[in-house]
Amino acid sequence: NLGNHEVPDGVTDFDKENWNDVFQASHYTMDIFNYLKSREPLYTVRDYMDSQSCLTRWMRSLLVDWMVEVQESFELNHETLYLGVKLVDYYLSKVIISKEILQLVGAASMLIASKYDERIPPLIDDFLYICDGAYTHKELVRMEINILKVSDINLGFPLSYRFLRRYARCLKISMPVLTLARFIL
Amino acid sequence: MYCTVDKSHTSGAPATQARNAKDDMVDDEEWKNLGVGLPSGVTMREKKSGALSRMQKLKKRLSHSFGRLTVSKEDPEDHVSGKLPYNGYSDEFLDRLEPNGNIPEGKADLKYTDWNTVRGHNNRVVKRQLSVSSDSKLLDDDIREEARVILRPRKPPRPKSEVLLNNPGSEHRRTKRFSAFGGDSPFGKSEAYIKLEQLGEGSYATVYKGYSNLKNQVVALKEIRLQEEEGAPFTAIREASLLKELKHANIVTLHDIVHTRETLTFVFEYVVLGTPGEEDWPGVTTLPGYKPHKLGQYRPRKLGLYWPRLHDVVQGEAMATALLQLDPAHRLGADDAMCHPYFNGLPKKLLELPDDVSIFSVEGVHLYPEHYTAIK
Repeated sequence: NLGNHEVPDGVTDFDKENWNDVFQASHYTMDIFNYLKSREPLYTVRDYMDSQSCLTRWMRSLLVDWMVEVQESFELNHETLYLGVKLVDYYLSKVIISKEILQLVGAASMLIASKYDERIPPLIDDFLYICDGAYTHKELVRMEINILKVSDINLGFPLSYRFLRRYARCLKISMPVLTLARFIL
Repeated sequence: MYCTVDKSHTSGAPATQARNAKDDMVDDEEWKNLGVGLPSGVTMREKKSGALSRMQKLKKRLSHSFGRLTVSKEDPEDHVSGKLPYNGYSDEFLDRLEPNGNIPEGKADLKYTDWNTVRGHNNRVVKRQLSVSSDSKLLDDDIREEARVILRPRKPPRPKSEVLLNNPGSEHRRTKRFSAFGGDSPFGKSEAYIKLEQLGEGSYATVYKGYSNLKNQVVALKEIRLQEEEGAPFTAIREASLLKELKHANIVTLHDIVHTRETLTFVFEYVVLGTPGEEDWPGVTTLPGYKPHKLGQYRPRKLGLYWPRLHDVVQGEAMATALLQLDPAHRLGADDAMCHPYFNGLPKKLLELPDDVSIFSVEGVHLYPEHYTAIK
């Protein structure tokens, strides 16, 4: 019986508590968790910064800051942001780019992540606007295809955020603690 | 125009957290330098103002900021190439990469300290690649140029303003990990598949029958048009990324994905129910699009021949065949399916459950692990 799993003594089994709640999908959680865990090694991104002759860690952090703002402003899911950042890292670990198009990579990654995860993804024009017209419609679409190509449309990254959600649920941690954890991630 | 976007100033916690994240990493002084910072005296709370001003703050070119940030790393190059559209990489530099992508020990320092040695090579590289530019204004030309490249087969298009770590010329550097893109893998190339007749057309894709030279078998080619206003359709992105993870005997297998500039082609296994005719689809021959000479005459075959695993399940083939009838009048409906002998082994109580009660509340219902060995 896959749904069942052992928990250490003195720990309440969160899934058992919600065993009959259809919406918690308790029978499947452990499978999902183990599946994501097993896929994690397949998606590791190496430390690529030294091979990026034109980029610095500074630029990446600036880009990620910007992507966080994009996520907030468009009210995107947290998963979208994490997937977007992951895509940027994956792309940069495979392709060497110049600093001028770093933001294009970021925008295209967010676009792909939104399409993957969002119910109503933002439009391409929205992304062009927040890049302050630095890139054209054509360039963004082209970069989108490039990223899809390089990642070979493997977008099922096991995101750190998903694990956090699960941990937070099982431990029933409070909102401030969860927020702190998000910040650390 | 953007007023639908902003409700996040009420959402509190995540927004604050993100602000904090930024303020921790960057102090105010630096943000002023970037031209995106706060005017002095503005508190963080006031920053969360209306939708429009938020979008205006968000709207910026990061490359403007990068210019100031990267003086130490890029200055030497500017002296060399001036306004040349230097592309951000050099073969010289790539040569120093080890197969694993790391810079060999000792050579990393060279990059920063000994520019005189490198400069000569850089000059050469810059000249050779003058036509290559990352300047956004010139990128359109690159696009045109790349379109020409695509016309030549055997050479997968490579982005002009970028270079891949697995440069095709350098065998020793290539690892298995990179082979999916521009490497020596036969997959992912349009030459590997022969497009035969069209099988059907949907709102965003056309399905062709095809032949795979790699596997010497008939495949279904689903060709998705990429020239849409919103880029790659999100349905396609989701379909591909999800199917990539799903390898299961009961799910149509996605063999391969072929990218070209205009299209994205998914290569699926080919499933035959036979060409529809009057006996299994009354009225089909009178449909406006029915062209027998184009469709070809395929005889339906027993599903068990395609999925031998159906024989392993009691009533499996009968159930699948009943569900896959073309004529709705002959097709098994959901209610009737529940009464099919296929389900005879299940407790009768399952059929009487209210909609909002988990099937696992019935005694004796458990999940069992799937045996994946049956998948070819």
